[in-house]
Amino acid sequence: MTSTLATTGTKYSDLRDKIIREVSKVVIGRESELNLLLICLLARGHALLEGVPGISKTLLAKAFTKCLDLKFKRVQFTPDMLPLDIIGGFIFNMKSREFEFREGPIFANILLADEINRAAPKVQSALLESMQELQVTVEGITTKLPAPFMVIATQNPLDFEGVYPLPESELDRFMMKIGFDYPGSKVESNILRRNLSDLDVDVVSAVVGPNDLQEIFALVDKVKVTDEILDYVVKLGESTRNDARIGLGASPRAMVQLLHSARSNAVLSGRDYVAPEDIKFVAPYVLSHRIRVDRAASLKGLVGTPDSVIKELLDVVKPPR
Amino acid sequence: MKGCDKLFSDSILIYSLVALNIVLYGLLLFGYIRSRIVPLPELKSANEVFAFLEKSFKLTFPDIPDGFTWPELISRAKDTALDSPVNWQRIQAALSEYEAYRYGQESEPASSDSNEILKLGVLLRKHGKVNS
Repeated sequence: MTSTLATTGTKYSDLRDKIIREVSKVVIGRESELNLLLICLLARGHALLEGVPGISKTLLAKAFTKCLDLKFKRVQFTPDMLPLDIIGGFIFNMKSREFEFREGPIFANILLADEINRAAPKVQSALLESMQELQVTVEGITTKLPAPFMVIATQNPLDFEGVYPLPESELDRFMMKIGFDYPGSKVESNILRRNLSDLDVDVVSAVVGPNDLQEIFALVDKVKVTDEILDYVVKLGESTRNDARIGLGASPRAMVQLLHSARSNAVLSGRDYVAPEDIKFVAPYVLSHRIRVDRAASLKGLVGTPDSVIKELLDVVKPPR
Repeated sequence: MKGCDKLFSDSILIYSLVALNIVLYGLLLFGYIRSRIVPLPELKSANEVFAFLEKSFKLTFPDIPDGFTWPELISRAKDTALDSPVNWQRIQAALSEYEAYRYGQESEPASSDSNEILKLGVLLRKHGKVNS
């Protein structure tokens, strides 16, 4: 079977531009967020998109998945949802007189978990096993999820009504948290102009197929990482654990994901090695949602947001040069 | 006869003034060209060249934090008004080769490829001295 990339003649380093061009047919001014989603996909991680309602989080996720020729499911999370609604469960078949496993929407390559923090914690926790081990276990029977598997979740900020904060263990499963800000005035005026006519995500066509993705995953796995870069990553992790302003530092899993996403960024930049700038570029998105600033320091006004603390640490920790 | 002598002495004066002008303009031109030619230090390995550049950056911008990366520094240098023009494409190419050597296990780039980096280092030091 010929791969989509080969037929369109797209080089891997041009993949980013190709996808951005395609998605821009329906979503305007979200190139950097889209780039981060792509890094996450190639690093085989999950992404959490956070922002106020109505700033095209869901539209971007839908358009992104349209670019990929993969099986896609969307679940709208609500407070009355049950784990069964996502992972599936055993249903009695009247004909065969046996219980059969009916797959839930999680059995897809990309699951869009819309407004994930509107669901109760037990439903959020139902995703833990699938996100980490790429499998689901129902009544002692374990079933593998299709590969690749990626969860793209959207959430509203925590100060909104009717939301349950995601537990730390769930947040740690997300490779990146991608914040969505309001668009600038020029971008917003373009959005308004675009919405004067009918907008349809169907105009976005598939640019990457499953075979291409497997090839790119193999490339990402071959990206070289020197010992000096590993030391730099370790020092960064330690700096989050030893800083008095931080109550909960980054876990070793966070640092592994930092390295994976840096490798993915290197491939998209046309390189076969990780440079310090790859680490510095992805670190704020990989680390900021995993650390908790110290409450006492926060109350005394000694510490800003997790984002600002991570940026300060990146300024202090010396990369190899 | 008297008029002839005056004409002769006038011509001598004019020619000597012209010669003086040529010498003066020549000196000016020589000074200008000399100021444009940046004397480069003789460094052999790529590591030495980039260590020289790093030191130049630290001398010129004492406020830069320890966590800087090369692309961040190059971008800051681009925003700095340097005395002499720098070929940023060559700088970028030299940086890519150096990074491929440092992090990608490629062979060490030839020292001649690093001349533009050395020039940038010298210009930065000059800029730092003028503005300090």
